[in-house]
Amino acid sequence: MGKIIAIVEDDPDQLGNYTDALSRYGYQVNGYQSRADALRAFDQRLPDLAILDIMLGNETDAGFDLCRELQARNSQLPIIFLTSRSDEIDRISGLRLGACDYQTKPVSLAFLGERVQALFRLIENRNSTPDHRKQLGELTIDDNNIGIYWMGRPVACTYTEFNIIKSLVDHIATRGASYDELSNMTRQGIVESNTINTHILHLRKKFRQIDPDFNCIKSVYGFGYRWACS
Amino acid sequence: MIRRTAGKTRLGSKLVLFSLILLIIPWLGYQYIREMTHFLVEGQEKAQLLAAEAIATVLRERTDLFSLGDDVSASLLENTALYAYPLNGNVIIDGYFGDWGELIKKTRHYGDESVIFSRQDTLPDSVSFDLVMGIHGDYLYAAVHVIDDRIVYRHPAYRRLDNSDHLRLILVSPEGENQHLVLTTEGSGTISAYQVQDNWKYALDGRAVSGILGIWQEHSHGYDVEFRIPLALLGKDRRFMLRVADVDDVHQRQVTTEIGSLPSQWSKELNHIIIRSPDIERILSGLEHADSRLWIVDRHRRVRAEVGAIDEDDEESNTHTDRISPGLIQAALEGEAGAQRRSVNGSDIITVTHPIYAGTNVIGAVMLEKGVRELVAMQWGAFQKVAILTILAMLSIAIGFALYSMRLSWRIRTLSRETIAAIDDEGRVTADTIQAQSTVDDGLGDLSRSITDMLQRLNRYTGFLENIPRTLRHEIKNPLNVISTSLQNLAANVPAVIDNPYMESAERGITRLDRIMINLTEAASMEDSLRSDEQSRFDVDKLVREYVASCIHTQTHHQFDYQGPPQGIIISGVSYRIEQLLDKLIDNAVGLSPDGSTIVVQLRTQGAMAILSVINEGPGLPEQVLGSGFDTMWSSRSSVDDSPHLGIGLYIVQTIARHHKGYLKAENCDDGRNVRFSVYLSRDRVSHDVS
Repeated sequence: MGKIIAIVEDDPDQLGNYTDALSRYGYQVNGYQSRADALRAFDQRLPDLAILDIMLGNETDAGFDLCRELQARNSQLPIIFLTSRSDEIDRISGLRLGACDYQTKPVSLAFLGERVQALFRLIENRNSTPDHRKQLGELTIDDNNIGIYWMGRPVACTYTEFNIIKSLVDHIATRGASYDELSNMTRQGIVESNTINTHILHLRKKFRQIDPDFNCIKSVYGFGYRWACS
Repeated sequence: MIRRTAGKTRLGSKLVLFSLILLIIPWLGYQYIREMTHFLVEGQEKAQLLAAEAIATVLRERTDLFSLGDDVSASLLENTALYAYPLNGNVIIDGYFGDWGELIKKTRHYGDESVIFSRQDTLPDSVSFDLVMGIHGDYLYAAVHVIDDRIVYRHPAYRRLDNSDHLRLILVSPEGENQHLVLTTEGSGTISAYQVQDNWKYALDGRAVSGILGIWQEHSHGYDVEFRIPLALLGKDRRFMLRVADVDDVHQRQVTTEIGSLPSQWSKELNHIIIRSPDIERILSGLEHADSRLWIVDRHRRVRAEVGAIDEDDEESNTHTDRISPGLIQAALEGEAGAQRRSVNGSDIITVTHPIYAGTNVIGAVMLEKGVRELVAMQWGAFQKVAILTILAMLSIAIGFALYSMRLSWRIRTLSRETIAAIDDEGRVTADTIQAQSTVDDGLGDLSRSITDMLQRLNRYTGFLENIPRTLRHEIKNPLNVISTSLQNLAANVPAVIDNPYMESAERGITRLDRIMINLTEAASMEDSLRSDEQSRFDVDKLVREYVASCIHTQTHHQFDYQGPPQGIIISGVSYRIEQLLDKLIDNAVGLSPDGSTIVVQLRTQGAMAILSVINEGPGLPEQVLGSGFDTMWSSRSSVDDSPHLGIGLYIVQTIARHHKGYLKAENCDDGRNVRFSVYLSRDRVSHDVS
């Protein structure tokens, strides 16, 4: 393997914990405690994947700056934000900058490892043929590339959103996917229904950019959501 | 919320009250005019005294002008004086008095009190006469108006002169002898004058007295006689008396009544003909003034000259100076100048007197009278001017005040409007700068700038408070993450600890802490999130119905009962926020009620509001909770369970309800056995059409 992961986190304890956890997966993990340190290292060599905290020391938006920097050098570089900032505006900003995912603390190390693996797998499979495609009406789910297509056009969604759509489709035969089930898809410790609502809201918007009449994600009030195109 | 009405009116009425102080100005003006008038009257009095003194100086040493009757006693003279007014030469002896002009008004009446002799027992009310005398050239003129019910003329057959109506004259000749004259006639026309014996019966020489000319004219009540006699017939004392003898019976021809020109008790005396000195009047004529009158009085208080007139009605003062001011005249004749004010017909008259000296002896007095009508007119004019000016000033000041107060209250209103708008209903600062009045350099400008300053400080503080949850989250989540990831790493490195109960309890602690943080930030960022939500119209009945149906699966420890409206209720809002609101309400109800109990969810309409109620069994809420308004993160639950509450749930419900133009209300019902939380939501106006 020998993939290089850069972790930028100002708290040495958390940095150590991330490093230990990801090292167990066999990755080479480089930890940096400040933006300057990280930038110096990136000048030498770019990592294969970056995990960034947003607040570094006194610099409140240092993570965003680093993300921009990395995107400028390699737009294909997968970036995961790992932060205590759970505000909607930060989440949107992070994803807009081209990050693959946005995780809020406290994180599940197991899920982090899984996510990193998935991202590497995605890069490897990027140019491969779409073998693992699943078709449902106008919806196409590409497991290998972690891609969603509607009416043949790609829907730019995050890994979490991808998982949510998958969960909805998996529960198509039942009452729908419950909030708890959808929460598991986000792989975070505790997820309020409201967080799910926000994800659904964004997904609907993304589908509607392609098809203004999109109306396949239905609310099951007090329970969750259901995929039903009718 | 904010009482705005009081301040405005109070400011206006204060200014009006304040402007009432202006009413003191006319009062001050009136006081000033009074003072001024008083001062002017005193000034006039002094000026009058000076004038009187000047006149007295002119007449000083002129004993020749005061020579008449010096030896006659004053008291006698007072009662016997008959004034002969200077005539202007127009008087024609014709028996008609029209040519006497104004003088005819100055006649004196002689009646009952002047009876000398009467044959009848009863008073001769049938006879009386009026007399006025004048002087022109060398003649003394007299106009006699006799009231007589029966006129008996002289019959030429009789030699006696007293057997018809006639006039009798007694005079003292220059030689000092008493002479008796009878003026009689045989009919209207020229009278004849005869010198008669003392008994009035026969003429002394049968010859008419030359120089006496008179005309007798009959009128409806009697007769008028106008005659003149040469002054040469009178001595230097000019003593004289006129009597009217009345004969009523043509056959008996006896004098029945005789009336004289003196009161009855003085009938033995003679009148003094007082001739006002033309010499003095000539001297004084230059001093004549409108509304002023000047008298020269001799030692016997006889008016020797008179110039000017104050008032035509003021007849009594013509001859009787003593009636005006006996004290003043007396004082002047004793050598003391004096002044006096009196009121006639409502206007003040100032009288001053000054003695006239010849050597050290007082030979007479000057009396000068002047009305203050000019002053009064001046006072009135001044008062009018002051009044008009005051009214104009007050009006302009009042208008100025009104405009000023209007402008002031307008300025206060704009400032108040902007200040109120600067903080919204939730107490959030929406604008940290007040534009109104901010550039004005006065108290209101200062206030506006102070409010701006205050708002900015409040805004900073609010911002600080709003950021507390975020800061707290950041500060807590990082160590929480350290613990969480450390535990995970520990479990991975030392698999033996995975099943350790301490490990499990540590993880539960982390979970609970995380949930608290999520709830805190959820509440804090609620408003921001709500603002970015997209509104849509949806059927809230369908939503709640579906939600309660789901609850039956998710909340297995409680029964649920939904009581919905007969038809759908369309509202404008955000459906998943209503869902979130229901989450909190149901969560709250589940927490408050015992397991196995039924939670009732009701939805109904009331006017423009849709009311969503959640009723659960449980102990009643305390009063302070019912009235709290859920603005704080209150919690009535003290027990520790898996989900932290802190009242955040109800705070979120309240916030969402407000965002839907509604509110949250809590009440105890069914005698405190049940608790009801009701959310009032604003209904869509076109709901009937849609449903």
